[in-house]
Amino acid sequence: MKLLIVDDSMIIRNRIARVLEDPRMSHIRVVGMAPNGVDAIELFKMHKPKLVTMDITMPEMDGVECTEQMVRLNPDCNILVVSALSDKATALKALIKGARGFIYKPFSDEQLINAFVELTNS
Amino acid sequence: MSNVTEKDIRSFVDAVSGYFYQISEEQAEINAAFLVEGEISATTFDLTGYITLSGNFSGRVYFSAPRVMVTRLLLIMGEADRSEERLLDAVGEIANTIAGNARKHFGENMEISVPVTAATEHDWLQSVVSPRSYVILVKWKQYKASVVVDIQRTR
Amino acid sequence: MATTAQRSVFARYRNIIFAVILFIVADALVIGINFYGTFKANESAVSINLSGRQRMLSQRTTKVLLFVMYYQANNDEAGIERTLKELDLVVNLFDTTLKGFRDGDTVTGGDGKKVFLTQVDTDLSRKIVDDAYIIWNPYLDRLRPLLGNNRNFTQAHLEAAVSYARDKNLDVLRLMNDLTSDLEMVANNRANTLRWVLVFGFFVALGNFIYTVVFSMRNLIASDTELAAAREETVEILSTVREGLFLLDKERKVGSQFSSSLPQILRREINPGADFMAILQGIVEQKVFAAADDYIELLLGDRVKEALVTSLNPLTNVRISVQSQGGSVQENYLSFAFNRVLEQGKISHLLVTVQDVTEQVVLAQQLEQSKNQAKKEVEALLQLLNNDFGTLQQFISNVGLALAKINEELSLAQDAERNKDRQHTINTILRVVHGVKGEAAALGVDTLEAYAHQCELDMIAMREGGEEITGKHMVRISVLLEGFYERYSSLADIVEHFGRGFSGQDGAVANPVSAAGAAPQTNPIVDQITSLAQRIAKDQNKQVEVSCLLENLQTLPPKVASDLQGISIQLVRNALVHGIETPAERAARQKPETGVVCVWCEYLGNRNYDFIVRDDGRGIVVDRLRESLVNSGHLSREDAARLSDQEIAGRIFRPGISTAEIANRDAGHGIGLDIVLEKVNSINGRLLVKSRPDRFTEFHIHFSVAA
Repeated sequence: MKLLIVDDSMIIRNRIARVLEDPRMSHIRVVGMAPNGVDAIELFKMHKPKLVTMDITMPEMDGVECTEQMVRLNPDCNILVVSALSDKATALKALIKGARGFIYKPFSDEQLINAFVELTNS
Repeated sequence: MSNVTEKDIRSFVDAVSGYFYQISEEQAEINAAFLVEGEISATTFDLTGYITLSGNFSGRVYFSAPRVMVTRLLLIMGEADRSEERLLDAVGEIANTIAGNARKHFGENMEISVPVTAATEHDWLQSVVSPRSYVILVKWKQYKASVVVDIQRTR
Repeated sequence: MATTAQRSVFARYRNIIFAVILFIVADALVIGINFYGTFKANESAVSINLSGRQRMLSQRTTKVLLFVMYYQANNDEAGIERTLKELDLVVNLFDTTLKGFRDGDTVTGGDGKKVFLTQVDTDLSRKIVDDAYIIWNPYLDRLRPLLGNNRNFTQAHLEAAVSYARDKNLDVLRLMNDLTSDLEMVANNRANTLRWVLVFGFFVALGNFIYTVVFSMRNLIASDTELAAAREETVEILSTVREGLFLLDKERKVGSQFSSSLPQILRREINPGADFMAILQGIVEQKVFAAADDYIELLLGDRVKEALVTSLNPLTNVRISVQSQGGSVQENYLSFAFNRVLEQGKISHLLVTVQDVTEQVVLAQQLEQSKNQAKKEVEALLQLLNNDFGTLQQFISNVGLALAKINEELSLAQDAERNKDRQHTINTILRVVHGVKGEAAALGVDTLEAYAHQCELDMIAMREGGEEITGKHMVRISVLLEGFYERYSSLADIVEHFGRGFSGQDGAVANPVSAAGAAPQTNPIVDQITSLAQRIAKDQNKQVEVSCLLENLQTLPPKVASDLQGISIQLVRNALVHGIETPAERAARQKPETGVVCVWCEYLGNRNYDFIVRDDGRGIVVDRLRESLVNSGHLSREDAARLSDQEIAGRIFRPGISTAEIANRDAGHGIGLDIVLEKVNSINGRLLVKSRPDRFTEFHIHFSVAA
């Protein structure tokens, strides 16, 4: 299953990618990482990933708008909002726009893995 | 002495004021308030009654008065017997009104003992109570008595 | 969980639904067959009846012919006429009926009414009818002259017909008999078939019934019992749970069953079908409400994963305010949890659990508060570490003495007889507190500075409250003092703790006063004054340069040095707040934007010293001070006009006088200069104040030190 990581922090992007090296996550393959919404949309069109992790506060285009566009491009995509505590209300907006779930930043490996498990079993 | 509020202290002192007013129609008024700390001028009296509190607060509240003041009180009450025993009874009664007010003020969660009374030595205050206990002097007629609040919040 | 429940419900009803459908189909079939059979039997009955009549009619024809001949022989005209008429009727009836058997037609029935006679449909009966026609056609030819109204027959005609009739009578009878038997047999066969169909249908229905009873009913009864048990349990649970429980439907209405504690928790009456959003709007902040609306919408939709959004629930530990009966607003904390309820895999409701978490939240807040307190203490500690240790010890000892002094003042107040005496007590205490505040600020001990400031505000409120100062105020001050002691002692503990670490290493650091004679080094008092000045300048949006020359201070007795330190703190504070102007103001007066404050101590010889604090600010504007004294009620307008400028300026040393526009922690409460005066008195000094508007203010203290 293809995954696109969208986050303006390189540390977070690498962190997510590293968690996915866990054997339980072997069915997920990272196809791209984007530091902002505009790049994210390009990569989304290019790779058509089924899974996306989405930051909320980003330069160029924020996570809410990015989510909205992705869902419009592919309503079946599964977007997981990964955001900080202070973004609670904004995170809700992203979910209204069609994201499937939310986890707090910072997160533990287990929390992220559990979120992917929840997201991928339908 | 942490976390004792002005209200807590007032609940004890008001009991004393109220008591004197009931007997003599003359309030015992707060005259001064300070802490048991450093060199404070002698404020110790020879008849003392105290109650012990446990629960949200723990510690003791003392009422201490000079013999002459309590004698005057008995006189007003029309009490003929002014023996030492009867004087201590009167002090105990005042300590008891403090206990009653404390029950009302702190509610169910406090256990309050029956008053204990004793004739006290000159320096009992510094040697018995914790540092920084509150001393509240009340004045009734020309006399002064003290309410000493030595309690701590336990939770 | 919910989906398996749905499946079992379907399984439970599937069997009985099949049984019912089977029953209806079988019944319809049997009824159809029966109906068809009855219809056919009706037809057969007509055919059998009429074929029997044909038998009778054939015999009657012969008989009537013979009667005609008899009346002919007896010349009985009336008899002839009657019998011919009958012949007409009988022949016609026989002919049309036979034709009905051959082609199917409407004929006159036995009761004279028209009935439809169906065509015979077995091979045998068709042959019988054909055979009958072979005989009947010639027969009819012979009879025709005798029929009709305008008949015209001869004896010969009659005899021909009679002889044919005699000849064929038995044949026709036999044929009609055979036809009757055949029709009866067909009808019997049909009746038999129908009987079998009915028997079969009965057995199908019986089987169906047994199946339903034995299998479906058993299942149904079992699950009904379960259901009843579950329902009982639900009611039981709903009435005993302490949490508020209810179902929220897609229209966001409260379901019919909710726990009895719900209205109590929400502090309002709840009716089934009540609009939950309206209830919510009444008790939470608008922002929380908007987020809750979004959140509920998400959960009612099927896009998000329930487990991955619960952390966004805006209704956890949410503060609600409810108007109580007394009219006062009560604050509580509630937590709402929402869980999806699925029906056939689709979200039908949200199960909402409401808990009153006020106690937990309050506890958590208290915990947070004590954590903050601890954090502040650590910060204070770090601040303290910026200072020279000897200075710290000095400060701690000063504060200890100051607090003891306050307590002494409080205990001395027992002899206070009048309000004025207590006013005096408060003013004295205020001065001490203000001194502590200044020193704490200079050392950057924020916790003590802030507390001292709070105490000041409280006491100023008492002083300015217009109320008579009584023993009650003294109780309040003693509580403030206790708080002061508490903060002081934790600070003293820290300093003492550090002292142990320090004293083992370096004596010189531990006591800077003893190092005074050594080579010039950075002076802690200078650092204090400079940092205090810069901090206040920043708060006031001003720029300042501080110049100190205080080496001589270190040769003075500690008590005098400490008092001068206190004086300089107050005067520098004063200079920054009242003297130095903002850069814009200074620029407008052609002054450099950065102000200058100088503090110096000069040895004049013979144990005489000058201690000077000077700023190049706006100076003491006597008119402004005069105005301020009148406005604050310290002077009547007449007195203000009468007093000289010097006398007015002298008033700045009285408690409660200030010209700062806005009171803040640095100035404006009119305490400060009275401290200076007190300390000057305590070192037996003489104080001079010089000032020129827009140029400078200088405080000049002359003192001498005893041998």
